[in-house]
Order: sequence, then structure tokens, then C-alpha cells
Amino acid sequence: MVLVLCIGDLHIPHRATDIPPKFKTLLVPGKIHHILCPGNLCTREVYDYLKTVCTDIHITRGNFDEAAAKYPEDEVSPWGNNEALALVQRKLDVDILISGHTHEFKAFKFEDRFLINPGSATGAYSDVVKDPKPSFVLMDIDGSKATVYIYELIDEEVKVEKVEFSKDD
Amino acid sequence: MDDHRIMTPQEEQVKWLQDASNSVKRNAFYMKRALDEDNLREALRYSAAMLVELRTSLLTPQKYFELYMQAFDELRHLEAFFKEEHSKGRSYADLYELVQHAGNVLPRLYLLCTVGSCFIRSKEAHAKDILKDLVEMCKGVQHPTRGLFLRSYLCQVSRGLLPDTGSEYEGDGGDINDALEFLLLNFTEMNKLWVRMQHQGSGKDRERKEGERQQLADLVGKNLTYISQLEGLDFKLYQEVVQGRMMEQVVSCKDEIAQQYLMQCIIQGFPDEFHLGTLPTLLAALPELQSGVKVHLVLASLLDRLSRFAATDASVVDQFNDSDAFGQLLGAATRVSEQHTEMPGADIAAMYIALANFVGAVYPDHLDHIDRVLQSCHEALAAHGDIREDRTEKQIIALLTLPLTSYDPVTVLGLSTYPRVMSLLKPATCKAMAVKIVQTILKVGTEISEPAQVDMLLDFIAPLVADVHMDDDDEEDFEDEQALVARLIHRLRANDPAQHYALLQTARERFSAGGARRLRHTLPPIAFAALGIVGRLAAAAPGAEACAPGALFRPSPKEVLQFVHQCAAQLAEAGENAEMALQLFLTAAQSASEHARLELIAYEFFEQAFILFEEAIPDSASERVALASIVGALQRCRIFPAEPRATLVHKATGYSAKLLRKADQCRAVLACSHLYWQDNCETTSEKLGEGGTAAAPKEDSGSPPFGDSEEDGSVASSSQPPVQDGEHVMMCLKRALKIAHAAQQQLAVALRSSDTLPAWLFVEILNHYLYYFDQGLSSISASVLQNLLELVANEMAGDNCQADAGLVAFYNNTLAHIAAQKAKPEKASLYDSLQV
Amino acid sequence: MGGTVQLDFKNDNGTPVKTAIVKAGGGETETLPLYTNKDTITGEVKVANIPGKKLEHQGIKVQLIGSIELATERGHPHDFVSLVRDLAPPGEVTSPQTLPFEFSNVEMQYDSYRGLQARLRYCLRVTVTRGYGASISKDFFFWVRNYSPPPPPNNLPPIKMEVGIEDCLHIEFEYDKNKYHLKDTVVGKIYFLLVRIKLKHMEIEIRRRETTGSGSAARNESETLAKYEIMDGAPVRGENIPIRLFLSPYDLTPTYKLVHNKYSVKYYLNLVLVDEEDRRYFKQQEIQLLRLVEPAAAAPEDGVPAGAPKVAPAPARLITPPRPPAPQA
Repeated sequence: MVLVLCIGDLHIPHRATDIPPKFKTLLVPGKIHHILCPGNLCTREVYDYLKTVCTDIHITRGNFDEAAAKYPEDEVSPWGNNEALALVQRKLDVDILISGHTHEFKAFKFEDRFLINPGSATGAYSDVVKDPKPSFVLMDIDGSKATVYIYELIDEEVKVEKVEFSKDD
Repeated sequence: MDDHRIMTPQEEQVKWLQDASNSVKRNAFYMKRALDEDNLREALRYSAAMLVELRTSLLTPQKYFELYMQAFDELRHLEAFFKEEHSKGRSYADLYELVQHAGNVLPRLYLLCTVGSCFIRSKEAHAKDILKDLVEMCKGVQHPTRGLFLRSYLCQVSRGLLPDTGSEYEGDGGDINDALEFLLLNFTEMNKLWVRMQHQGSGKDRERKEGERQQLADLVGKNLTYISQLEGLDFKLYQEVVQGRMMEQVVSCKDEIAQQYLMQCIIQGFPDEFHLGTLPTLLAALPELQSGVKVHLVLASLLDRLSRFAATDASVVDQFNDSDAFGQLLGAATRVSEQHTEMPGADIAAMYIALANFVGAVYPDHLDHIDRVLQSCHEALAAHGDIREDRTEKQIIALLTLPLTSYDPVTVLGLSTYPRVMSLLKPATCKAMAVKIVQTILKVGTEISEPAQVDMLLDFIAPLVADVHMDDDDEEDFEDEQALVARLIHRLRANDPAQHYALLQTARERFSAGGARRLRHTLPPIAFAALGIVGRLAAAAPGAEACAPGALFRPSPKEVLQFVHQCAAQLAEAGENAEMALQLFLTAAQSASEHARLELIAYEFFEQAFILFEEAIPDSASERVALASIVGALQRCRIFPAEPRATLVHKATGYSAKLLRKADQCRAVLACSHLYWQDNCETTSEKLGEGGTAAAPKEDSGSPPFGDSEEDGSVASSSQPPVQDGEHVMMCLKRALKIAHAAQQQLAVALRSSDTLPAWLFVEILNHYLYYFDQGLSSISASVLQNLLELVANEMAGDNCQADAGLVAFYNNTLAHIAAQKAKPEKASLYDSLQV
Repeated sequence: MGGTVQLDFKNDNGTPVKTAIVKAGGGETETLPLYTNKDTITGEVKVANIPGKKLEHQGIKVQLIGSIELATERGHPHDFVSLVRDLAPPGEVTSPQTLPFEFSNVEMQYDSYRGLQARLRYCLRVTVTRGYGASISKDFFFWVRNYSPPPPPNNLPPIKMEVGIEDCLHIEFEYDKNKYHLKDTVVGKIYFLLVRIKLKHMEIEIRRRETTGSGSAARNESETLAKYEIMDGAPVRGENIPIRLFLSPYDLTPTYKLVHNKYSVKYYLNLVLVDEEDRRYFKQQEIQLLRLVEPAAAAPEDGVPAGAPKVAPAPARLITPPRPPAPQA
């Protein structure tokens, strides 16, 4: 069992003050094995914070991350297009693709592969989605199965939903 | 085995203790033998000889304590013997006199205390008489250490024998008053001895002496503990007898260590309601304490107890109010600082911190109390002369930070006393304080919703908003500070967009004055916040202009977008921020297009982004990212009529050729292809109605360029239908193929290991073809696709391609994708002719 | 020598004769018959010849002698009492004889005393007079103690005094009475008015002074009979140190004034303060010692006087109310 935190598009400090405290209390150090972050953190401070949650962080560069941060990058065009994401997924040959930028949570199956967009953990302003809700995703991967927990902050309350994926279905 | 080495003081201590301890053992042995032989006279002689060892002056208190414990244990044998003697008919009165024949005072008094306790227990004498006698006779030992231990022994053996209320020794044996008198007297005498330790011997090793005294503190304090444990001690007795006597001794002993310790003992040892009921007396003592006493710690303990007391029961707060506890406490703090002019500023501040803590805990709704605390603190510190020590400043910062967390920070900052206290700080410290303020507001999550509050807040954090001439600027600190300020900007908000906009304007004005290097941090959040307002304004009904009476005029989305424009432009001008500015322009462009529906302004934003792309992007990697952003943004815009859109798309497409590497060019062109093909709606292609029917681009373009007519710009246009220009898509795809071929040739010339194989590009192109094929692009027929498939298949047959596992996987994934599409019944007709 | 002489003190009514344990020097004690002034002394003298030989004599007598011997007049004791009883006319003793005697209502106004330079002794001397200087004579000592009437309780002024060394040490001390009986307890206190020297401890000595001779020939000899530490450590100004000294453990006698114009014995309480350099500061105060009649019932044992109080000594006498500090010099 491996716990993977997917969190991205925080846009601190450009678009948001901080990760909502109710999320922070959930992100306890020592529980999570890996963090996948599809970019736009945007400061070192936030990176340092994630480091305290789990030291194993994989980040891609968002368009607002500074080039100096040297995160790897890959682009999707058009933004948020499922087909386009699937293309990237084929290219990277991955079972699960974590993407960001749109600030809209998404998790679905596409030809036996999974696409996940954890949304924006701060509910930051987006030019794609109106009034995004803060959200992040926690994946519990067990062999070919992944249970995806979606944490969303709606009216100051954390709502959790669960989606299960299985590769061999 | 004589050791003739010169010993260290520690070794000496060990040896001396060993010698004394051996002698105690030896004499105790003879004593016990005499006891076995029923020879009282000899037993007393040896017990006295044993106790003579306690007359030593050589041992440190710690070692002396070990010796004392040893003797203490041995005396228990004697005590048992006394009881036995008594049962045989000897009166304790006899024994009580007999032991007093001992010639040395110290052994005599240990024996006397031992018999005395038996005497009381037998009830042959009145407890009060014996206790009174013992506590008085012990005055014969004036040596501090020896006296302290002797009286400690007295205290210990008389435990449980006091004529306390409800005790079996009450009645003829006396009453609570006698019990109290005994403990108070013993306490007083012990404290005098303890204080005297300090003045013994030479003045040289003051520190060592203080250390040794601290070790003995609890011997003295035990008396107070026992007093507090008396059943009969009620408030009346405490108020009328105990407190006065204790405080008298504490104050009159004029000793720092004792006062510090005893005040804490008293505060911790007696019940809260006693303290509350006798607050004036307790507080009156504070200014009387020696100047070296850390009064702030004493006061803090008291306040801590009182606030915990208040937390237990709501009625306590009423009691506080009835007795004006706060006023008394504040008055005491004032008097202490007046009295002790040499008190360190840090300690004064610490004292007020304790008060502020108390107020925060007990009076969560009394900001006026905080105001008074701050005022009093300011007066105390201002009168104090130089307080610009680091330690002091740290405390002042702590004091100023406190109310920010327990009250609404903005209201707290609004107190007139707040800036006055803050003005006591050095400029550099002001900055630290500013950081604290910002951190607190962020932590608490306060919203700042009045322009005047913004001004006030920025005044407080002025050192973060504008350059102060200081040489200690650390780059990393600066970054962190500015990130804080940037985050703070999101706390400036109001429900009314007009109000919110006013806040941002105020903030921007202030930040603009603060120098270029801060703008990089402060402008983006302002711009994004403004974009948020645009969204809200645009979402409101067009007729909603009329605001609440007295409110600001509602700005138009255009006005706010212009504000964003200024921000982005200013950011670009500030230098080295071109990428950020470009991203801002692009985001703003989408907002103008998709939210505000302001075509001209959206256009202008793209123009600005292009200018930056052309002029200011520093390197090829950044260009690639910037171009991807431009394409991504433009792809989504639905506002533009055909002609301006064509201009923008043309330019963007043109940029792809400017990229350095062929692979980048190829990918950029592929991305650009999407500029000619917009989704019908936000959802995926599966939901697209009839495949292959590309809506014709709307050729009508009557809009004048941005700036020609301001009036027009402010009129929201409606969205254009999605662009689906198959011809241009094909052109892009073909160009991509061409570039891929070129890349292949280039590769043949010089294979660089860092380059990816051009076959990657072919597979990517194939995928794009598939995408458009799936979308129903008419120019891509099954045969065209078939050709491409074969081309790619040939390409993939090459050895170097087969060696690249990633590439193979990509290719296989693509084929699997085609197979999956074929398998879908609704796609069958489309994919049927395709052979894989 | 031709025979032996023995003497037994015996009461007429058969009750045992009281005894006193008396220090005999060298740590030894001896037990002697104990009498008081105006007592009647009775007993028996036993004279025995050497078996098989007769003892001829010119008479047997017993003398009661009270004598004072001064060191300065060694060998020349002065008899202040001398009584004689003839027990037998001249004759001969052929078998052991028991001869009762009686001295009634004897004048023994002086106490027995063994001092450094004066001794007052009582004895019964049995003499079997024989010719040619071959008389048999043997002394049988007994002890005399006299008792004073209790002093009127309202005439016992305390001893109170302020003493000191200027700007150095000022103390005030107080002993509760000026007269004590031998089983009495000295209760008092020392009050420190000024302490500028570092004291180490303080003790009370009981000293005895014998005076013999008079005028320019007077000789004084003192000895310390008791040392009793009452304070350990250095007091500060304002301290009050209690004194409680039991007299019973010590070998004291009453105060004697010009015993038969030969010698006087006086007692002193000597308060000694010792400083850290072992310098001694002292103040000596005379007290009068008296012997009071003891309650007859309980026999003394272990030095504890028979009428020892059954409760603690009255504390009221021990606790001194605090005083205002003395003005600094």
C-alpha cells in the first residue's frame, strides 16, 4: 500500500494566501510516501512546506513557477483536453497521469488508463474555471488498484469522495 | 591506604563525607548496641556522638544532605527505643529533660526534636507547648546550613502532630492557630538562616553560594507547603494571619533569591480564591521586592493562575470585575516599573506581556484593557531611557504580537497606543515586528476591508513596503518577507467588488512607491486579485451598477482590466519580470475574453504578450514555455472575430518557427494547429455532434483596433462560435511533418545523444492526426492516415527506434489507442478502413 | 596491731542510714552515710582481738570530729566540732565486742566539702587506747548536707545585664534568677544588639571559686565544672538565643560564705562567646546555689531529679517577644 498525495496549482503568493488550514491539518507528516505535484507552487516556502509532509516530491513546472526552480515540464494542448492528456499519457507510457493548470478537479478512466487532475489546493483564481474550490487528491495504490480520495473544501467544510480504479477491469 | 595526592574539591567532598559517614555508622552501631543492652545513658552518649558529625562545616549542602539522611535514618532506632522505654513506664518528660543534658547544642536539639515528637504523640504533653518549645530552642543553631537542616528535621518529625483542625492533637493540644504559629515561626527562622547563607564567608564565590542556596530552597518552602495543607486554614485566617506574616518576611528579608523563590511558592502554594481575595496585599509587595528579583516572572505566575482560575468558572470573572482585578494588576505593574528604575526593559516588557496574556485569556472582549496595558507599558518603557536592547525589543515584539492573535488584528492596530509602543523599536526591529504582524494576520485569517485600514496596515509594515536605508538586507530574507506581503494582499478583500477594487488601488499605490524590486512580488497578487474582481463584476447583471447608498461607484470590468494592464506593464518595466508579465497579460487576456467579453482589451493584452515575447524573453527554454502559454491561452479565446483572431494566430504560429530546436518547432506547430480548431463546448470530443462539420469561421470583423474608440471597448461583445478551420489545421500538421523530416536529416548529419529521436515527433504527429481524424476533420481521410501509419511503421522499424523503449511504448500505446477506437461501435464506420 | 576496729552507722529504729554518692577524685565515687545538722548519729563499734591473743587497752572511745583542712595549712586541720563518747573503761578484749554509741542532736552546721584547696570533713574516730603509743585509731567518714529554706519566690530578681565591646559586640543577657537550687534549671536568653565579629559558638560555663584566707593573704582558686554549648554558628543583630541549663547533672554544692571563717565557695555562670579566630569573650555572673529539701519519696536515678516536671518546662519563660532593633552605633 502506497499513499501518494497529488497536490498542485497552489499559486502562493500570487493568487492565494496559503493552503487552507483545514487541509494543512490533514497533511500530517510521516503518512504520505510520495507527493506528485503538477506545478505552480509558486514559492520555495511552499515547496519547503511540502517537504515537511513528505520528502519524496515529484514536481513538474507550471507556467508560474520560476524557471530557476528547474522542475521538469511537459505541455498539454489544448489545456485540460482529455484527448490531449491521453496523448501525453501515451507518450509517457503511464497508467496514471496527474495534470494541473485548470484548477478543476478531475479523475476518470480513459482507455484503461487514469487521468487525474487534483485541482488547486488553494482554490486559486483560474482563467479556465470560475470560482475554483480548493481540492487535492490522495491515492492509495495497491498493486493494480488505486483508490482515489478527493478532498474538497466546500463552504469551509472538507468533503471527501472516493473513486476506485482498477487496471485490469 | 593513604592517598597523598592533592585532591580536587570534589574529591575532598567525597572523602569528607566518607569520613563523617563512617563515624555516623560507627557511633550508630554503638548506640544500637547500647539500646539492645537497655543502657539509655550510653545510647544517648553515642547518639550525641553520632550527631556531632552534623556539626561539620566542610560539606556542600548536597553532601551534607546525604549525611543528614543517614543520621535521620539512625535516629528512627532511637525513636523506637524511646517508645519502648515509655511503654516500660518512663515518662517522656524525663526523657525530654534527659536529652537536654547533652553538652553540644546541635546533637542536643536533634535529640530534643526526636523525643519531642514522641512526647506529642503520647499526648502526655500538649502539642502546642512542645512545638513552641522546640521551635524556640532551635534558635540555638545559628549556622545557616546546620540550622536549616535541623529545622527541616523539626518540620519533618512534627508532621501530622500539629493541632490542626480535625487533628487528634487539637483541643488541649492547641488549635489551628498554634499549628500556624509553629509553621510560621519555623518558616521565618529558616528563611532568615537561608538568607544569611549569602553573607557567609568571603564575597568572592557569590555564584557558588547562590547555587548552593538554590539547592536548599525547598527546605524553606516546605513550611509554606505544610501551611497550605492545614485543614483549618480558611480564607479568614489566611487573610488575617498567614499572608501578612509571610509577606512581611518575604519583603523584609531583602534577598533576591529568597524573594523570587518565596513569591513563587506563595503564588503556587495557596488557592486561587485566596489570591483573588487578598490581591491588594499581594500586589503591594511587588514594588517592595529587591531590584534583582524577576518581578515579571512572579507577576506572570500570578496572572497565569488567575486566568486559569477564571477559565474554570464564569462567575470568577465577575469577581475579578467586582474587585477591579485588572486595574489592580495594572497598577501593580506600573508601580513596579516606577519603583525599580534599574529594572531591565526586557523584564518590564515581559511583565506587560504577562498582563496582556491575562487580559487575552480573561477578557476576550475587552480591547480597552489591551489599550491600557499598551499605554502603561509605553509610559514605563519611555520613562526608562535606553530600551533598544535586543532582548527588550524581542519582548516588545512579543507584547505587540499577543493581542493580534487574540483580538481582531486590524482593530488592535487601530489602537492609538499600538503605534506608540511600536515606535520604541529600532527601525530594523520594526521590520521584524512588521513580519510578525503580517504573519499573524495570515495565521488568523483576518480580512482587511477598508481602504483606511489598508493604509494603516501598510503604515505598520512600512519597512516591508518600501526600502528603509539599512545595510543588513539579506536576499533570502527579503524574498521571504516579500512573499509574506504578497500573501497578505489576498487578505485585502470586501464583498463589494467596488470596495475590493478600492483596496487594491490603495495597495498598489503604496507598493508602487516602494521601489522596483518589490514589485515583482507585490504586483502579481494585486493583478490576480483584480482579475477576480473582473470575474465578479462580469457575472453580475449588467444593470447592477446601482450600489448601496454611500458606496463607491461600481467600476466597470474594463476599468479593472486596465488596472491589471497597468500592473502587468509596470511589472514588465521593473525589469527581469518579462515572463511573469507575459503570463499576467495572457491570464488577463482570457479574463477579458471569456469573462468580460471585451474584445479590444483582450486583443491588446495579447499584443502586449507578443511584444514581451519578441523583446524580453531571455532564453530559448523560456521562449518555449512562453509560446506554449500563448498558444494555450489563445486557443481558448472565443471573443475574437475572424480577422483579429487570424492576426493573433498568425503571429503565434509564426513564433513557432523562431524556436531554436527542430523538435521544439515541430511540437509548437502541432500545438498551433489547435488554434484553428476549438471545441464546440468544454467537454470532450465524444460529445461532438456530427463529425466533420467544421463551422465556418465568421468573416465579419467590424471592430476597430484597441484604442481607436474607447467607447466600443467597454461594450461587452458576445462569444464567437468555435473556430474549426480544417484547412489551416492540415497546414500545421503538414508543416510539422516537414519539420520532422528536416529533423531526421539533421540527425543523419550529426547525431547528438541529447536529442530525442525524430521518430518521437512522427509518433506525436500521428497522434495529432488521429485526434483530428477523430474530431472529424474532413481533410484527413482514412487513406491519408493509412499512409502516415505506414510511414511511422517504417520509421519505427529502424534499430535505433527499437532500442528506445520509451518510444516503442509510445508507439504501441498509440496503436492500442487506434484499436480501442475501432472497437467502439459508434466509431466503427470512421475507423473501419484503417489497417494497423 | 593486736586487734581490729569496725564501725557501723545504724539507726535506732532499724531504718537504713541514708547515703550519699560522693566523688572521690580520679573519677571514683564512694558511698558515705549522709547526715544533716542536728541529726542524731547512732551506731555500733565492733572491736575484735586477734584470735588467741587478748587485747589490752586503757579505754575505748568514739569521737565525732568536724574539721577543716586548707591546702595552705596542710597537716594542720582545724577541728570545729569535737565530741567524744567513752565506750569502755580500760580492760581487755578477749572476744569480739559490740559497743553501741549515740551522738544526739549534733551540731553540724557546715556541709561536707571537697574542694581544690579546702576540705571540710566529718568523721567518727574510734580509739582503743593502749600504752606505749600502740593505740588503735580508725576514722569512719560520713557526709553532711544541709538544706536551706526555699527562698521567698518574690525575692528572686533575674540577672539582667547589657555588656559589650564598643562597636564590636553588644549583647544583653538574662538569667531568670540569681539563686538556684542544685536541681534547678537556669533559664535565660541572650539578645544580640550588635554583632560585628564572626562568632563561632557560645557556651555557658559553671565555675566555682574557692577563697581561702583573708585580706592580703586571701587565695582564690577557680575551676570549671560544666561547659554547655548554647549556640552554634554566627548570630546576627536582633537574634535571641534561648538558654536552658539543667544543673542536676553537675557535681555542685551550695554557695558557702566564710565557712568557719576559713573559706568561701562561690558559683558563677560564665557566658563565653568564641569567634572564628578562637578568641573568647566572656562575662561572669555570680549565682547563688542553694540546697533545698528534696521530696523524700523518689530515689534519684540516672541523674534525673525526683520531682521532675511531668510536662515541658513552662514555655512562657522561654519565648521572648521580638524587640525593636537596637540603634546602630
